[in-house]
Amino acid sequence: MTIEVRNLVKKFGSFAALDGVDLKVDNGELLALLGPSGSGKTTLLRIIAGLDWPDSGEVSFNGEDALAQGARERNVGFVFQHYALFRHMTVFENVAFGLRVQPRAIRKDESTIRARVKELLDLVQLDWLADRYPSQLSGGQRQRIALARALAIEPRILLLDEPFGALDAKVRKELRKWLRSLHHEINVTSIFVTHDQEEALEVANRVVVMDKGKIEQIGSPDDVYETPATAFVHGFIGESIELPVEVEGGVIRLGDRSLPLAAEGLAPGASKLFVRRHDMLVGPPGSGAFEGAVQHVRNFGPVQRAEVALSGGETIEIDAPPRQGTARRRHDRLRAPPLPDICERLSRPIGSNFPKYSPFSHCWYATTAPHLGAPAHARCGRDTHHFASCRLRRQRSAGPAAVHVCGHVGPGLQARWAGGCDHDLAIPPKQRPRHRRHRSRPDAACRIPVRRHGGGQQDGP
Amino acid sequence: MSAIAARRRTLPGFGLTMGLTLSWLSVIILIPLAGLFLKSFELSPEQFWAILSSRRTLNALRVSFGLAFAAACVNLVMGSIIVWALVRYRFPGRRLFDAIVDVPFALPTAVAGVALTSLFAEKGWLGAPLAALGIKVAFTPLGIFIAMIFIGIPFVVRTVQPVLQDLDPEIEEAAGSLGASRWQTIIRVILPSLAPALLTGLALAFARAVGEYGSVIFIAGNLPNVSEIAPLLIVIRLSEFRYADATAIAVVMLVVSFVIIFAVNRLQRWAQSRIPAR
Amino acid sequence: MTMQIADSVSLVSPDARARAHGAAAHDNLRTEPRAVRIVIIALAMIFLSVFVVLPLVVVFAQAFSKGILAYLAALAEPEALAAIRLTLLVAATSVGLNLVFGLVAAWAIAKFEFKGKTFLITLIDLPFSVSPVISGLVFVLLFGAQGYFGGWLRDHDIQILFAVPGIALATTFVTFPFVARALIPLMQEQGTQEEEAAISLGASGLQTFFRVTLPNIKWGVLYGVLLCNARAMGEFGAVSVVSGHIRGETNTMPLLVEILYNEYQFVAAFAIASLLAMLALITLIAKTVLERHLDEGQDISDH
Repeated sequence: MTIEVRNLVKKFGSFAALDGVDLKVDNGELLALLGPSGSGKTTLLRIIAGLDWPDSGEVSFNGEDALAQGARERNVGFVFQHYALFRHMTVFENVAFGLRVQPRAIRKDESTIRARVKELLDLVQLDWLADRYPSQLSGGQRQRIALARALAIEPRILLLDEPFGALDAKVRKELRKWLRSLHHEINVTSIFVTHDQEEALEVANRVVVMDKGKIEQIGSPDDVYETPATAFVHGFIGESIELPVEVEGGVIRLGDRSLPLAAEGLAPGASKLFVRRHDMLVGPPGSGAFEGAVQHVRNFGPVQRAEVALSGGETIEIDAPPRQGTARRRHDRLRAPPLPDICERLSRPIGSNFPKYSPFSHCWYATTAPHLGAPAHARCGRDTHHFASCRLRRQRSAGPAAVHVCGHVGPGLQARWAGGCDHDLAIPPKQRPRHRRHRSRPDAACRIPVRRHGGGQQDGP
Repeated sequence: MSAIAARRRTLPGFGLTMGLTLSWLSVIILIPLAGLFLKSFELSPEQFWAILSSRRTLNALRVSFGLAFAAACVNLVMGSIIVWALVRYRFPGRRLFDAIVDVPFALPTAVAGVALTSLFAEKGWLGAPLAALGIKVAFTPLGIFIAMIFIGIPFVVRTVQPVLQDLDPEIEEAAGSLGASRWQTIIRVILPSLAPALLTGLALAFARAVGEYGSVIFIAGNLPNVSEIAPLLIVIRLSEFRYADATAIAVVMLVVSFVIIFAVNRLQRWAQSRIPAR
Repeated sequence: MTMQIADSVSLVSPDARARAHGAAAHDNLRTEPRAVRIVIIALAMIFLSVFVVLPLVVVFAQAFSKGILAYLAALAEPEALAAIRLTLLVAATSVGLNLVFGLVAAWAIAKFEFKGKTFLITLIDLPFSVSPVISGLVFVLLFGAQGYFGGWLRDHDIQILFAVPGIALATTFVTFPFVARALIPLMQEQGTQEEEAAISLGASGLQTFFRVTLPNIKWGVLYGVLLCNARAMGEFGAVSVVSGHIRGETNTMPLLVEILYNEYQFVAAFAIASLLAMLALITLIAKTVLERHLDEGQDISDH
C-alpha cells in the first residue's frame, strides 16, 4: 500500500497544525514522523487514519482518494498513544472486536475468529494473557495488545501514535527492537509518530522531521542526522551549539572575528551558525577561529565537557573526545593524527545540493583527545582548520589550548555546520563495515567505538 | 474534496443526537419557559408593577428572599464546620455522617415538610422543650427559616468538601513553617482558597431555599404578609385563576435565580482560572 | 554520619506514615488543639443530628405510633395503593424519557466539540434552578383552560392538565438534568479514544455505542437513573400545581401525604411518608455504592 499526501492543511482556529504537507510513503515502509509537540505529526497521522479531517488537501491510498472514506471503511490499523483498549473487555475480546463487528455477510464464524485471535496473541507473544483485563496488564503488554487488536482487521496500513511514549525507558528500548522485527515479519506499510529522535533514528527506514505543521526534511536516519537540511533539523536532532553570526561581504563573522568558512550563497545580514559540540576541538592559542577561555571541565562518564567563554561574550559547551586513561594524566603528550575523513566530509556544503555521501567518519576521536589544557591542534586532510582557540583557565594541567572547529558552512538560509561524527558511533557495526574504514585510514590508528554518544571508544596506540 | 467541505466528524451521530437534544430540550424546557415570559409580556409595565408592589406580594417576596438568605448564611457557617470535621478529623461515625449530609437532597420535600413540622410542633420532640423556653417555631417565620436550613445544608457541604480535600497540604505546612499561627493559617491561607467554593455553596443554598415549596409550606403557617412564601403565593394565585399575578411573581423569581446561576458560573470559571493547572 | 541518617529516618517515617493513612491529625502544623477539634466535631454532629437525622427518625416513629397493624392498614387503603401506582407510573415515564434524552445529549455534548457547549449545558441545568412551583406553573400556562394550547386541547378532547400526562410532563421537566448531568462529565473524562479505536476497527456507530460506550458508562447511567428516580417519585411542588388533587386519580404519594396530613390522618400520612423516606435511604445507600464503583472506574482509566 502506498500512501500519498498532497498539500494537506489543517487549522485549529488560527493555529495551523498542518501547513501544506506533502508526503509519499512507499509500500512496506516503516516511516517515522519526528518532531516536537505541536509540530502537527499526530494530526497528520490521524488524518491518514480518518480520525481527523483536513481543511484542504488530498490523501490517497494506492492512488484512490482516501478522504472519500470514513475511518470505518479505510481499513487502517491505528494504535493509540494510550492504547485505548476497551476496559470492560478481556484481552481476547479486545483483539476479537474488529472481527466481531464486521458486517454479517463477511463476518467469520466463531471458531475462525478464535483461531485468528490466538494467532495474533501468539504473534505479540502474549497468548497467556487472553483472559486478563487491560487494567491487569503492564504498559508494555497493553501496547502489544493494542497492536494485536489493530492487526486483527488485516489493515492495509498500520499507524502508531507515540507507540512508546507512555512506557518507561527500559521497556521502550525492548519494544523498539521488537517493533522493527515485527514490521519485518508482517511487512505492512507503517507510520509511527514520535518526539524521540533516538527512537525515530533507530526504528524507522525513513524519517520525516516536522516542525510547526511543515515537513523540514525527509530522509534516511543517516541523512537527517548527518546532513540536516535546515537549521531546525540541525537543532532538533543531536545537540548543537548555536552562535549568532554576521554574513558580510562573503565572510562570516562572529563578533569581530571572521571565520574561515565559505559564505557563498548566503544572504548578507544576521545569521546563525550551528555546530555539534564534539566538532569543536581545543588547540593552542591563536591557532583557531575562536579565542576563549575554558571555564569548567566536567566529566560525564567517558565524555569530557568543557564550558568555554568565547572572547565575543558567548559561552558554549563543547564535548571533548573521550577521556583516556593515560591522556588524562598531566604530562601526557597529545597525538594529533591526520583527519582526512572529517575534513572531506565537513568541507562539503550541506543543504539542497549536498551530495549523497555517507562516510564513516569516526576519525575525530583519534585526533586530539585533549585532556583540556594540554596543547593540541588538528589537521584536516587537505586543509588544516584551526578555527578556534582558547585559553584554559581552570584546568587539570597547565598550559595554553585552542578550540578547533571542524565544519563548514553551506548555502541556504542560514549558515550551518555540517553534522558531527559522534552519533555515527552508535550505528551498529553490521551497518557500518568497520574493516573498510580501517583500511581506508591506516594511519588513523583508531578502534571502532562500541557505545553510543562517545561511549568509551579508545585510541589505539 | 466534498468530504472535506462537509468537515466530517470521526464519530458518527452528531447531527442526529444534537438534533434530538435540541428538540427535546425545546419541547420540555425552552417552550414552557418561553411561555411564561410571553405571558408576562401580556401585562403592561404598570400592571406588572401593580402586582409586584401589592403589599401581599412584597411581603411574600421579602419572606422568601430574606429568610432564604439568612438560612444560607447559617448553612455557610455550619456547612464549613461540618466540612472541616468530615475532611480533617477522624472520628467514629464519620462515614455515616458524610452520607447523611445528602438526606435533604434525597428526601422528598413533602416528607421533610411533615417531619420537620411534627418535630417542631408545640408537642413535638424539639417543639415542646422550645415552647417551654417561650420559643415558638412551627407556623412562624422561624419554622420557614428552619426548613430552609434543612434544605440548603448539602449544597454548602458538597460544594466545599472536594475543594478542601484537594487543598495542597504543603501550603499549610509552608504557612506554619513561616511562623503563622494556626488561626492565621486558617484565616489567611485556607479561607481565601475556599472562598469561591464557599460563595458558590452560599449562592446554591440561597437559590434552592428561595424556590423551596414542599418542605416549607407545612411548617410555615402560611399567614399572609407574615409567613407566606412567594411560591405559595403563586399557587394561591393560580387556584384563584389570577394567572397574571402568578406569572409576574414567577418571572421575578425566575430572573433572580437565573442571575444567581449566572453569577455562580462566572464565579467558578474565575476560581478555576485562579488555580494553576497541576 | 550513620547517626545522622538514622535520626532523619526516624524523624521522617512517622510523618510519612501518618500522611499515608490520611491521618492529618498527627501532623502538628495542620491541626488544631484537641479541645477545638472536639468542639468542631460535636457541633457538626449535633447540627446534622438535629436537622437531618431527627426528621428522618420522626417519620418512622410517627408512622408506627399506632402499631404496625395501623401502619399496614394505612398502606392498604385503595387511595394509598392508587397513589403508589400513579407514582410508579409517572416515575417510570419520566425516568425512561430522561434516560434516553440523557444518553443522546451526553453523546452529542461529551463526544464532540462545538461552539456554545457551555451554554447548552447551562440550558440543560435550568430546571435545577427553577422553583418547583414555577415548573408546574409553566405547564398550566401552556395547557390550562386559558393557556396557549388550552383551546386546541379542549377542541380535540385531550386532557393534559389535572391528568397523568400533565403530572408526567411536570416531573420530566423537574428531573430533566439528572441523567445527562451524571453522564456528561463522565463521558468527557473518558474521552473519545476507545470510540475512535472501535470505529477504526470497523464498528458502526450503534455497535460502537452499545459495545464500547455503554459498558463504560453503565455505573454512571445507573447513578443518573437512581437520582432521577428519587426526585421523580418525591417531586411535590410541580406536581401539586398540575395535578388537580383528584383523589384516587391524580394524587401521587407526596400529594397524598399532604392531603392526609392536612386531614389530621397522621398515621396514614406518615406511613406513606415512610415509604418515601425508605426510598430516599435506599437511594443514598445505592448512591454510595455506585460512587465507589465510579471512583474505581476512574482509577483504571488513570493508568
